[in-house]
Amino acid sequence: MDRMLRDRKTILILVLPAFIIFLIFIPAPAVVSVLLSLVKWDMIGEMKFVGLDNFKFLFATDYVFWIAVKNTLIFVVTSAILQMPMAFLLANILSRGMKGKTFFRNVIFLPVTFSGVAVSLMFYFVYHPEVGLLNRLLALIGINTDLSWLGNEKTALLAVVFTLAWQWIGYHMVIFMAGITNIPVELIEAAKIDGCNEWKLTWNIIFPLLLPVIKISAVLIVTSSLKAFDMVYIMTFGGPNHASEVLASHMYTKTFAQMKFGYGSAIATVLMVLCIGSTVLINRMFTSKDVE
Amino acid sequence: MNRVLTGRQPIIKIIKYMFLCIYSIAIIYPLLFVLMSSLKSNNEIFSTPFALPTVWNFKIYYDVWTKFNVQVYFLNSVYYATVSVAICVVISCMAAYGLTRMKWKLKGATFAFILLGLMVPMHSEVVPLYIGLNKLGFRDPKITLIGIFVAFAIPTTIFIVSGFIQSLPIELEESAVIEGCGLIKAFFLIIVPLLKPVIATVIIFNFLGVWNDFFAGLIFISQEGDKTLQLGISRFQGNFSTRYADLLAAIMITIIPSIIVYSVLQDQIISGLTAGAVKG
Repeated sequence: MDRMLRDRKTILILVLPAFIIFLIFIPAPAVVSVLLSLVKWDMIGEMKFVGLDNFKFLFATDYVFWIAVKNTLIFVVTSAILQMPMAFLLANILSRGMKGKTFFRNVIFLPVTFSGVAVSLMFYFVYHPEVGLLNRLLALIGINTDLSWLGNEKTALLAVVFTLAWQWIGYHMVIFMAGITNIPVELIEAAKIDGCNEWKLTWNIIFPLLLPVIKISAVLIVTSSLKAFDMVYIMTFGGPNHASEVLASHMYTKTFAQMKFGYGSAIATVLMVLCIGSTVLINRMFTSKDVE
Repeated sequence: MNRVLTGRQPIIKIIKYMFLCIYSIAIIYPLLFVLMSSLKSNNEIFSTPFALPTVWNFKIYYDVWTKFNVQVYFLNSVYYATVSVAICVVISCMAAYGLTRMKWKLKGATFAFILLGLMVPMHSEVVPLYIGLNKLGFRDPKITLIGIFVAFAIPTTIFIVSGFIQSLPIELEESAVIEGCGLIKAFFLIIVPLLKPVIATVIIFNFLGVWNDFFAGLIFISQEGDKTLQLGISRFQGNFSTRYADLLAAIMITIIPSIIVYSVLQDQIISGLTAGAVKG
């Protein structure tokens, strides 16, 4: 048996197909993309090696890039603020033996199964200045407004962030619920016997024990917000006047609308560094807390 | 657990229920609003937004389905999702077996390398692949798209499946091998049937991932006949102001299959979609 488990041919047959497809479509293009960030090329003319010029231009001259960076950071932070506490609250309520737990969980999770495109188009309608649900509801309570939520520089970005939260809170809620289920019952019973009230139970027992799942949730929210594209593209296209421009939409415009493949690769490289960096950083942050 | 955790104060309980109900309405009401509006005429959408439609114009669904290529998009999406999920699940299960049961030197490093792929955003892949595709003269984006879908699903799938294989006793293959069965044959005949629950999980997870993709489709598909559902309906927004109902019906057509499948398989879908996160 042992000899068979070491058989080279069998190992290759099993692992190679997946590994080759993985290699061709993920690590290899990622490396090429970093290399392309050092050239200037529109795919028709000649490819020119320009060293770090793309990055110099990006950091020093491209003001839209900095708007996109600022908006992406706002996107990340507000997504986390909107989604995590709400998901924690909902998970906490539903894990305390509520009747109808399954029903509420299923309803709240429902939008997770929808596509970003469908949700974006739905909220495009909800936010519509004349026929949108939001302004119609506001009119019912006496606030008459024809504010175009997606067409206004002050509200466009947050309107998108809110839509994302509407879709994804249920996902993080379920992750938290799974975490709470894994907490040993004896621990909670013991705390109750020691006179722990609900509030203390939540903050001193459940919250610290949930840190590993909260970490996973944080990584997912941060990386998916950094990459956010679908909703921005469909709801605002980065507008008005770049008010909701994020890194992914800026990269798309530069690369596929303006055919600056080297420059677009530079933005993609920044995005990749941010994604990997934030994943590593969040993992570090939480590990040091676990040790304490 | 539930008994211990139940709050005793009835007022708090009522507040909790009210909160849950309001939250659920915030999820469901926009869906109903879109559904009702999709059955109305432009005039009605404008003048009586909260009323039920006076004439229930179900025909709009048939029109959108047939006239605007939506059925073509729909079938394309079914094709992309089915083919890429099938390929991904087969090769990932094989690889997961090779990466957990087999004994070789670089096993740990290979596994870690594949998991690193989870951190690479798709944005870093599309430019080189787009250029490669053009330079190689590929006019058919199907292979590239399926390749991308398969590749991006591989790390999570291997991760979930290998966790499951680890929990199986090795005696299963041992007894088969003693009876003269080859290892690969033993894998397909003995291990794969045992993997059924986890295969169901990764099928759901990956199918929804491909079905809901927009970014890859947007970049690689130019021909109308190749478009995915998500890509196809995104253009409805363009003539939204002239015919509200078209867009709204198109939204419902993409959402309704999700709702139907979800209402039958909620538990599997919820655990399937969160499997990668919860086990990580």
